[in-house]
Amino acid sequence: MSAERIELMASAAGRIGGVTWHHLFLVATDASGARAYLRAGPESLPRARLAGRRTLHGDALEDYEAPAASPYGAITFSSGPYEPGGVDFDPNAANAPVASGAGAAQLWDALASQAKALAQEKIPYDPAGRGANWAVMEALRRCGVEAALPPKRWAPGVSLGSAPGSAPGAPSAPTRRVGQAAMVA
Amino acid sequence: MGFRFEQFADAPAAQAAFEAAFPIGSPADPALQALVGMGAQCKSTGPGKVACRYVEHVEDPGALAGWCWHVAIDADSEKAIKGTRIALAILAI
Repeated sequence: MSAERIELMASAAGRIGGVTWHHLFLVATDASGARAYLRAGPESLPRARLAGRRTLHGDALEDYEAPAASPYGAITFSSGPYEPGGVDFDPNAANAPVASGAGAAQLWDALASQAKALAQEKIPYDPAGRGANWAVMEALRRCGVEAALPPKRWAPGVSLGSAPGSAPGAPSAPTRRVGQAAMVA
Repeated sequence: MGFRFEQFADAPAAQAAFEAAFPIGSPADPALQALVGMGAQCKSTGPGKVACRYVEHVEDPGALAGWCWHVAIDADSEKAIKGTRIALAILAI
């Protein structure tokens, strides 16, 4: 698609200590109004989360193969039409603009390339560290974009920096906040 | 109607069961009531169109990834179901 606008979306997903956490993904809109998503996630959920569940072929556990990278496998990316009844569609999701106009199409293509590259790195998915939110922000960082979250949305993982040896232009170490000061280790 | 997404591990299985419970041509309201009743968030996305999102509840408060179901119901002017679409994704931070 030839994107005319790209937005960073935040979908409410759960609560930690009474605070709502959000799942981040990107949505591009073309001139016709058609929308597409780009999202990250783990390869799978741990085996226990499939117990007692069925697929069209029967017991879900019969087809289960434990991923090698971690209980969740590696970080993966996927994309497709952003539409009702489709993955990540959330009419209540908050959004923040990332790009618009001529640069949006180029950025969307670059994001697809970076997502592919990140997936090929087989980074173990870590829900307490480098997870889906980190991966979306990392793809943006590797495209030279430091995107702002939608206001008042908490998305764990976004403040983690890039992995060592990642693409040029990305921060080389995590940034830690102490009071109002930002320390770069 | 006791429809529970927690019984299914993929979208085709859930869609088949949902269409069996709420077939095309049947009233859309019971399907919507079932979705809202299980905790789905539903919103109109146009005339006769409703999109719902259901995040599975997990007992473990530390769970930072889980299943999220996305449902779209299209209805005609008589509020009868014209079609449904269901997708499943792992929702994760």
